[in-house]
Amino acid sequence: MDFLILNDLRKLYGSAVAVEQFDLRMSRGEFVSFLGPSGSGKTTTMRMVAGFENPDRGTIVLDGMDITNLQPNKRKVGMVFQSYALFPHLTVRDNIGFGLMLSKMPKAEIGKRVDEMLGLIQMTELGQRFPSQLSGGQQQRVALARAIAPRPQVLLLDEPLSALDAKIRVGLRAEIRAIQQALGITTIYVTHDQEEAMSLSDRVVVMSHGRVEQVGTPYAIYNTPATTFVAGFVGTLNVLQGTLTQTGGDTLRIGSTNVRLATKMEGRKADSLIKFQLRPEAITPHPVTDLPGNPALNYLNARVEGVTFLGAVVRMRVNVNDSPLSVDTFNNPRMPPPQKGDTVQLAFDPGACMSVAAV
Amino acid sequence: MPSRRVSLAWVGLVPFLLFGLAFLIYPASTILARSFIDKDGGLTLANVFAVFEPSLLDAYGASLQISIVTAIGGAIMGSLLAWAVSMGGLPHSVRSVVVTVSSVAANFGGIPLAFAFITLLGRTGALTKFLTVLGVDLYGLGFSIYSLQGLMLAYLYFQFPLMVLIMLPAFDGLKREWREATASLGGNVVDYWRHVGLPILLPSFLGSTVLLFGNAFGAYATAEALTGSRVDIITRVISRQIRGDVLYNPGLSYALALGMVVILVAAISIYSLLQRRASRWRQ
Amino acid sequence: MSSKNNPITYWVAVAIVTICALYLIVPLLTQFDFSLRMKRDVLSLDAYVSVFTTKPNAVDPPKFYTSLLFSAGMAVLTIAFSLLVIVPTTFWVNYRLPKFKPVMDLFSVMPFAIPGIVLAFGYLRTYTSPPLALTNTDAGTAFLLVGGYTVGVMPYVYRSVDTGLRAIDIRTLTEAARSLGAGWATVIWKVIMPNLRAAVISASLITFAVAVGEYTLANFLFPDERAFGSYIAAIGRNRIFEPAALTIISYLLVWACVLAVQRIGRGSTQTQTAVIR
Repeated sequence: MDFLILNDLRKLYGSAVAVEQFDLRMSRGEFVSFLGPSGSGKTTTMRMVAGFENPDRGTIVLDGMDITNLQPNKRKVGMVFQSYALFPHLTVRDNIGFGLMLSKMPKAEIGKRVDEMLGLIQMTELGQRFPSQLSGGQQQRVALARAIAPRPQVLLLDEPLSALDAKIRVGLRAEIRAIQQALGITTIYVTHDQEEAMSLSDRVVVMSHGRVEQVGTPYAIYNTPATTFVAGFVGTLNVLQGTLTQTGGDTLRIGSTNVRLATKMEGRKADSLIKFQLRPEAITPHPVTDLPGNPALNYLNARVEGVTFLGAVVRMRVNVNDSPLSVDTFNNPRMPPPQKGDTVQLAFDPGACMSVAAV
Repeated sequence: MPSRRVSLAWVGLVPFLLFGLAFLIYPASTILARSFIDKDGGLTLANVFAVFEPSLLDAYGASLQISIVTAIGGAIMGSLLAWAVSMGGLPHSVRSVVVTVSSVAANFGGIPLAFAFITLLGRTGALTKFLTVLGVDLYGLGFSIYSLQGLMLAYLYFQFPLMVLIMLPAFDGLKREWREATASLGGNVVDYWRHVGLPILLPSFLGSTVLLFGNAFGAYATAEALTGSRVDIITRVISRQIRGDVLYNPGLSYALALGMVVILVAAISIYSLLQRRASRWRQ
Repeated sequence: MSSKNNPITYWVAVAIVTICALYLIVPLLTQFDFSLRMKRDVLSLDAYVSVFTTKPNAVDPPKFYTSLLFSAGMAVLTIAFSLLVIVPTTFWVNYRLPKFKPVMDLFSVMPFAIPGIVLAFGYLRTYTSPPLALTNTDAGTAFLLVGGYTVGVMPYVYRSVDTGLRAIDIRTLTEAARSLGAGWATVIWKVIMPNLRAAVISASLITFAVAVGEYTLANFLFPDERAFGSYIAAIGRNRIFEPAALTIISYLLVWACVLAVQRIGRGSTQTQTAVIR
């Protein structure tokens, strides 16, 4: 059932831990991203799958076969590099056909497969160009075609879009996903860009300091982060703090306002300091009124310190009781956003308050 | 207005053009022109034909031989050393020492180099004596430092270090990702060098080899001090013509110098042809 | 990052480096040893003392100093002349006349096709008779020598300066300086040159190292053996141990220049050689 199994992988550089206790089971055709800051061990883990690094412990099993100690060139693993790594002296066609040439495929067949690949990456006209005559985005598409031309069992992409312009990045991202799904190829995608990981993947592995913080669907990672690190790394988070009104209760006092949380603070004493987190889009700003609001919601008054109009989204920097908060709302053509210096009322659901573990 | 600005811009090149004219173009074209002029000022091909005399052709031949052998030998030796330093996994300090020593050796030549090789491999040289102790009689085996072979050994002293200096950046330019890409596409080390590493290095290798050829072909001082009249290479023949030692024939000496220039221009042309073919892929 | 280093690769590399190192070091070591053997059965610096003190006659100072001084002077003049001719031109071509670039590249290849001995021959046949009888005076001959050396080092100087210029945005720098009221001389000396410092100093040191010991041009243009190279050659014909001492001294001279270049040009992979043979 599980197509690719990474079992208890560990990699040390000298005495420094690069990766530890890495476990992952991927099914055939799955798209998994390794997400984390630089130095989190995501690239090292991918390189162990490729065979460029030997794990100090653990096993890698691909399609029922233990490949832990197999040479990279025997693994049938396709790789796409951040720097494209196209062979500069070969044309686009020869680059794409390189792996097929090494496997001694007949020339005519190579030609057919290369044509097919050029069609897939929509570069049929550019087969005779050299890499130096292509844009970055085109080069990376050729690199992708080169990696998948020999029909590898696993495709590895190491920050493939990091060197590209933002606009090209988004377009190529969709293209990668479409090709991956069309071919049903099992894929690992390394990135430090959470938006990329969320938008592409079936599942995301969030890593930090060589360890797995959480494995889950993008939806689960974003809405129910397992650790503070995941919550902070994926999306923007506001941190608010207040004092508990009664021992083991669910209500905090922030300034002169009470705020209710979704769960009771078992074991915490009255007046102890409690922190919780809120996503910017979980907060709705209203003009200040004296009318009673929805009793199911929490309300806090805030001063607007800055407004950034991003088009569909309006991002506000506001201040609550000396804590800065970020608030996102959709653009509303009937209601212009508040101005700097205005006071607004922030409404949010107790269920949107994420507790911070062990503060 | 724009056209006037452009014409003014050319004025900035006048000093350089004057320099090139005085020290390069004019003397060179004098040699070229006078190669085809006889004693009475008439046009002639006699000087050029005179070059095709056996003893002069031998001198060209010796020069070509020493230049080709030391260029290819130096290129191979220098490339191996550049490879060892760049990819052999040696400590970084080795690399910087090799670069320094190579820079010194590449710029060290002429008379002192000949002295050093005479002390080392002359009839009573240190290495000659040392090998005799080991039972190898170099001079008995027909070797002599005062021969074409000896001259080649001395030339290699500045040839291969020059190659190191040119090839080291080329080896450094081979990206680790190319090696990894080759591996992930199913290739082994041999595949990598055959299909990726060597083809990418080829333009630099060819270019540097031709540079080494020219470097040896024009060399004079080392040969003068090491082999003297024992080995007649073309630069020595020309030096005798300049001094007016033997059978002084002004027309012939121009043609001899012209011959050197023609050979070097041919080398550069062959090189740029090869280079263009081998580096079509470079921007 | 770790690369799986093959022990075979490592030992092959060690073997290559060792052989090449022996090739480069052994001739010098034996020469150094020989230079210390002037006095029978003991090591002494007598050969060096002899080099430093032997006078050509009762009145003149030792030939070692006069010839070294002469050649060092020629080398310094060559540095000045080559910088004066090549730096402004290279700047100007990069800044205003990129179309002229291929011509500059051609010019910088030409010395390669014209070896020192052919250059010397050309000068002697071109500039010995009126109207351009430069060789009739010492100053004229020295001018030819400096010009010839400049031709010889031009490919190297041009390449270093060109590389240095391309590393900085000369257009913006120049236009900024011009808009602040700087004249062209100020632009070159105060704005461009400081950014080319490493390139210019390296080129100068290599030029110095090569020109001081040069033999071919110097010997044909000054047949009276005034230059350091000619002096070394003459010693080689007449003495036994002094040539060894002079070899070591020449080597140290080149070594000092190269070390200085590497101090200045840390991290630059520019090929550090300018060959006139």
